[in-house]
Amino acid sequence: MSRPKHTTFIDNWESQVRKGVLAYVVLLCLQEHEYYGYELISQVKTQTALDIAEGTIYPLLNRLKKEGLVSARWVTMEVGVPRKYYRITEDGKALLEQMTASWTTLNDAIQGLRTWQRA
Amino acid sequence: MAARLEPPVQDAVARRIWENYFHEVRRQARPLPKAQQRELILELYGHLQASMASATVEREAERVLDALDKLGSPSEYVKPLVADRMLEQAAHSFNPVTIAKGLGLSLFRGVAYTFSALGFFVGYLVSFTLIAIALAKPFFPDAIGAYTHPGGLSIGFLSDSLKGQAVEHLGYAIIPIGLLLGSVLYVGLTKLLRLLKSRRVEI
Repeated sequence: MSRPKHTTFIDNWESQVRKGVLAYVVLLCLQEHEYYGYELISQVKTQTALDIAEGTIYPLLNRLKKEGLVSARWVTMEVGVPRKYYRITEDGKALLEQMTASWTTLNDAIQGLRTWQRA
Repeated sequence: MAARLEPPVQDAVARRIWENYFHEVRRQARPLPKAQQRELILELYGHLQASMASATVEREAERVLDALDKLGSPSEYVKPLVADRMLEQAAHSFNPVTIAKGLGLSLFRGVAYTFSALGFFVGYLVSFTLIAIALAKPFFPDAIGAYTHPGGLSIGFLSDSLKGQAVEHLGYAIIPIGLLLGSVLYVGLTKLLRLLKSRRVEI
C-alpha cells in the first residue's frame, strides 16, 4: 500500500499545531487537578499524541509560573525524592477562559470556511 | 539540598549513564541561580524515577536509557531555561554582555525568535559603530566622518580612493552626534527588549 502524498508535510504541520497549543493543553490539564512534571507531560502526551521530549514541559512550566498563571509547591513523599506539584492560579483560569474563547472563535471560523467551500 | 543525590540504580553501567547525563545537565545549567539549579536537578531526578518505575524492560541500563531518551537531551530544555533567565536579567540591566548572551541563546529557539534576536543584534551593532566612530575621530580626523561623494553617503572610514572626491559634513561635530545617537539607540533597544519581555507570554 503506497504512502499518502505529502505525509511529511502533514506530519510537520500537525507537529507545529500541537506545539502551538501546548500551553493551552497544559492549562486545561491543570484546571481541575494539580500534577507534578512527569504526570503532567504523560497526561499531555496521552491526550494529544504529541511526540515531544518530556523535558520541554519544564521551561514551559517555568514561564507559566513566572507569568503567575501556575503556582508550584514541593511535596515530601513517603518514598523517593520530593515532588514539585503545579496548579493553575486564578490568573491562569482567567487566561484559560480567554484562550478557550479564542480557540472557539478560530474553530468556528474554520468550520465556517469549510462549509462555505463545500457550498 | 546540600548533598548530591545518589543515582537510584545499582548496575554500574546504569549508574554511569545516569551520572554522565546529570553531569551534562549541571554543566548546561551553570548560568542559572544555584537554587534553580538544585530544584531542576531534584525535579529531573523525580521525573526519571517515575519514568523508570513505569518501564517494562528488566535491565537497569535499558530502563535508564529509555527514560533519558523520553526526557530528551539536556540542551532541549536547559537552554530555554537559561535563555529566559538571561533575557530576564538583560531586561533589568544595561550590561551589554548579559544582553548579548540572552540574545545569542534566543537564536536557538525558532525562526521568530531568531529574526527578532537578529534585529536586536543589528541594532546594537549600529549603536556600537556610531560610538566607535565618535571615539576614533580625534585619532583619524581626515579618514573618519560623515561624507558625501559620487558614490553616495559614507559614515565611518573613508577609503583612500574617495578622499579627493568626498565632502565632509559634520567635522568634529560627529563626536557628540555619534556618542548621542549611539547611546540613545543602545538605551532605546534595551528598553524595548524590556518591554517585549514583560508583555509576552512564553508559549
